[in-house]
Amino acid sequence: MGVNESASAAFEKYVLPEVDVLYRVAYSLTRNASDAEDLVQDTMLRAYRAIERFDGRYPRAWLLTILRNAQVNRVRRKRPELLRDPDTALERLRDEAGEAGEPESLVVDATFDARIEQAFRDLPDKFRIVLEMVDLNGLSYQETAETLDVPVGTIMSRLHRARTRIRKQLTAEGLGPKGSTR
Amino acid sequence: MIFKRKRPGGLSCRDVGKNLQSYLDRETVEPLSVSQLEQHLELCRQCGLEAEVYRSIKESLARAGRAQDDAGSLDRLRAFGQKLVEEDST
Repeated sequence: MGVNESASAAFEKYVLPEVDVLYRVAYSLTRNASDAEDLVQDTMLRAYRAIERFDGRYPRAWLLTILRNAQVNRVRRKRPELLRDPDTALERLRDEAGEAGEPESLVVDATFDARIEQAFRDLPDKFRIVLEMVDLNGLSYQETAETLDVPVGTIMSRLHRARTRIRKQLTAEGLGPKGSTR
Repeated sequence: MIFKRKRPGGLSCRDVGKNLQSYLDRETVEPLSVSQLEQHLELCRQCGLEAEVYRSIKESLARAGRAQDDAGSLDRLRAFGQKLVEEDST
């Protein structure tokens, strides 16, 4: 019982506080609320089974790795030929899923937000997914790297390029200051 | 004629530009110090504006992230997690 109690306490301590982030990341990867929910459930079950072996360090990174593996398995079941390159596979999956539904508007400046969102949607997938992980889902660079299985340096450069593109787009539409767009 | 370039906070605009995104994302800006960088942003109009634009973009995207959360899914997932905890405890 002692073992069960500590496993249960560990699950409550490390897993439950991350459910919101896991859901957002799952949504980014699947583009679909019910698939995202299934993926997070799968992730929680896997975490539950593995919690006694988890050392308590970086729970979010640990959970994101589990989520990513669960997602790779799902993709493999659906589309075995996509598995050669998980990064590309995720991007292609996103392509096929098409555009996400319009987020509801609860904005301070609707025009600004609408322009940003459009510029965000116009980004190439490999830039958009990184921006989505960091800015929409609130992941760190390292966590994003783990989730997408891409080096941190690549994450940083894609992030920088993604934001520069959005920035340039805003400037072109007269919404940002002129000058350098570094 | 040689101009001595101003370096607010002891940093060049180039150094600040290279680390601005990491700073806004609360990642490490080493070897620069956060306080030096913040001082530069305060004193240098161009870099300060640049930071403001990127901060606005970041905040706008964070709002979009919150807006797309599906409250029903989140409630069900939290309940699912809670159930795992309770089943384990009994």
